[in-house]
Amino acid sequence: MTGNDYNSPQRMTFNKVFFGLLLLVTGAAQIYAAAPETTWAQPATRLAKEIANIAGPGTAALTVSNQSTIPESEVPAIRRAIEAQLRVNGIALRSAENAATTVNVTLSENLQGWVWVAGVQQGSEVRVAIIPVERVGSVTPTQPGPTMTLKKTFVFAQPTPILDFSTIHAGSETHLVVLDGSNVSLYRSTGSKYELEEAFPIVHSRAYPRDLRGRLAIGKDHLFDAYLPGVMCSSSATTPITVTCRESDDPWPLSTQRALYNSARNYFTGALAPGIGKPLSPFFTAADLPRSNYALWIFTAVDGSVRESDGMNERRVTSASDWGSDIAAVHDTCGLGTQVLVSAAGDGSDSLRAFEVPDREPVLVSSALGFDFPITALWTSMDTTTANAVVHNTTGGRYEAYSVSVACGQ
Amino acid sequence: MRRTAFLLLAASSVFLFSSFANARTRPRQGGTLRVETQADASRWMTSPVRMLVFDSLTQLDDTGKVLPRLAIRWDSQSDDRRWQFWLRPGVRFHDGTPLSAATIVQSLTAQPCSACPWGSVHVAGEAVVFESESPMPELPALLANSRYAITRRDESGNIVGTGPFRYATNSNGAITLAAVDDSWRARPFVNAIELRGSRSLRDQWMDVSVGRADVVEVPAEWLRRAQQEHMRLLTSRDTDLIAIVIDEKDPAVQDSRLREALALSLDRAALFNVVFQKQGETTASLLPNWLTGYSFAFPAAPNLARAKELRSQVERPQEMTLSVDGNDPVLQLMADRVVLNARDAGIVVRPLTAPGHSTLHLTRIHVEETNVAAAFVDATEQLGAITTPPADDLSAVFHQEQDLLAKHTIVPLLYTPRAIAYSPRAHDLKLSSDGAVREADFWLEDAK
Repeated sequence: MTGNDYNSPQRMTFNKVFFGLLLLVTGAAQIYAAAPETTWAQPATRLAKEIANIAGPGTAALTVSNQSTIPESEVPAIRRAIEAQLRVNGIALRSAENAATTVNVTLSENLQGWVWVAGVQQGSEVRVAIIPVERVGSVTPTQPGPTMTLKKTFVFAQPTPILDFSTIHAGSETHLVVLDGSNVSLYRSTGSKYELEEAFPIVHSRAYPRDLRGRLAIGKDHLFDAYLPGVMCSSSATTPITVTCRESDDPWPLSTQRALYNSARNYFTGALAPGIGKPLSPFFTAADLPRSNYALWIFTAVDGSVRESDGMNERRVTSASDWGSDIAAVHDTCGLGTQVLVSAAGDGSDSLRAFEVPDREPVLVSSALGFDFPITALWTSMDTTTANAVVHNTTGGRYEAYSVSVACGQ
Repeated sequence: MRRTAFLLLAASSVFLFSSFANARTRPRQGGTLRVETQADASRWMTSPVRMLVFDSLTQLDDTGKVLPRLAIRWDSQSDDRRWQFWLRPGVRFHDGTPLSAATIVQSLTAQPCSACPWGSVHVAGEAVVFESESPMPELPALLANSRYAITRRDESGNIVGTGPFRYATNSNGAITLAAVDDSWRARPFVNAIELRGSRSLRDQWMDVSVGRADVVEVPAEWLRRAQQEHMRLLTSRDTDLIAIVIDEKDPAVQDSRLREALALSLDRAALFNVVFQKQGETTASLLPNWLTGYSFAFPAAPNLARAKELRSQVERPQEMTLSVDGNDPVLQLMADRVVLNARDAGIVVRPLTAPGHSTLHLTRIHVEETNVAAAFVDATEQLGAITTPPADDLSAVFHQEQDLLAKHTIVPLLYTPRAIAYSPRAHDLKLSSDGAVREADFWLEDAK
């Protein structure tokens, strides 16, 4: 495979199609892949020196814990850097029972950046060394006020428009599936990059509408389905993965419902199956918010308004006037358990914000997660814990796929 | 009273979300933002609410960086013992008086200021000069504090400032702040803010639910309930510290082992879970972790065995007395638990029911700064501790705090956030990271 950007996916532990966390982790690895171990050498040197000033030469047991936004995948590298510098300063590392000193390093952070704190215990006395560490990478710092943080993780990029993407696990293999207007493409991870395994062409007799949209969904008895206007593709159930396409106006999966897509346009008609009561007005995107005995649907209508329906009544959400046309529900353990990720109205650069809907009014629960370019697609991921966002990088002339997750707390 | 200020403060915003400038809906001009508080509305001036009406020489952004406000630049000499600030030109007080070095010096010297970080302040040409015998490395950050807001009295004796709102009227238990058309910070979107005081929380919540109020109070201990009632909430970072201040000169606690024993007996988690419904964070540090990143280095868990051991080393300890700030019912509730915790360690603490000197004082302070060293100075001043200003270095602040807390004269317990609830007609209400307000960008849905 050439011409594509990629990252390194991680192994998952179960055999169903899923997504979210995997992409978050793999994306973080991608971000810090550009930051070699030497990134941590300088702060490790400073901290080790501080520790040595307290402990003096001798033996020590070291623990490293992470309470910061530094990805967990970076912690082993940090530990190695600290260990190396401790040795340079005359401290030999031993197990706790064989060491005169215990050094507990906590990777923390504050408003300005990361903070590494070492508790140096000798006998019952604990002395503390603290060093500030400049924050690097693209982990989004917490903004004041809102209680959750959105994080984006780069997954993949290609020159042609990506309509949707997902990671699937088939047997012992992990694959990245990328849907565009011409192909369903399968990529295999080779550790540091994705390599194209196979591109399955999507044959269709009718012309696509402008503003082409499409999405991937879990298959009933196979790995996944791909939906495009007037076309549906299905994968095989097992490896080797194959994909076959056919012309179809089958409704697209949308959470617990299936929504009829207007194959001559770029929106859903509003008809849902099995249905929630009254049909919705035609809409671009929709998110369902589970309630105790029903689901509240919030959607971006084609007239530019944001509306919500409980199956009986449909009303305009006036406070959502700055929402863009793309929204996606994310189900997780934060807050009320479901957040609606919302793109911004307007042109040019874009952003996502998370809202919760405790009753009927959306409440902003995160700061804006900025994108330098417009979002062209936004879908709930297959496992519903994250959202897939595709951004058109007009400078680089490529489409970039990001996984967007919600982090609890400030 | 602090809450009064806080509410009005909440009626402002910062430019955090300017990325939405191209959104379809633009802010609308006009209308009156209706704010309700428990405190008497006439007390709005003595709290950070003044930052809607007044300005300081500097301001802090949400990362603690010092930015210009009424001062546009500054520099220091003599190892930070002398600072010179140059002023923003063209700024006028609400009564038309031009801002000058003389009016600033007049403002900063109008009240005796024993806790001020400077020794003297005077005019030097167009600039203002602060001098001190000891270094003042954090002076620009400290000057952002609302306590050092620049004010003056007009010919009628009313206090005026340079902010985007001016005090207009006080009638029938409500004060009105009117928008300043030619404010140097730009005219606010709303025409006025009406602050109605002496409203119980229950009345406030009712008013916001039926559209009679736009902004109402939500104390930290009520935050969970407000969430359950699906109120529209804005919550700050954890900025209010609840701590016990111990009078080490009191014979009952002159032995530091007793003070340490008391500190080790306290079950912060129970206070956090029961009283505050898990809103905020337990802490044994003076400053919140979001600000320092090191608060966990101060162990907050109780150690009853060690507390008993220390207590047993002291023969015939005297009874301690405990008072709380004002009539704060939450602190009263916490005081009851402190008494029980202390008793578990064999320490007798008697709550005071009437004002008077006490061994222990349970207090709540608001840490306004977002600069670590300035926040440390601010917190210690409010708690009555005598410290020297630390260097602008995280490790230095930590070690200074460690030394201070090792005396066991201050026992931090909890950090809690500030919150407001607001009506659907109010837009772009935002709290800055310290729970205060620095801008006035809010607007109303039904404004024309």
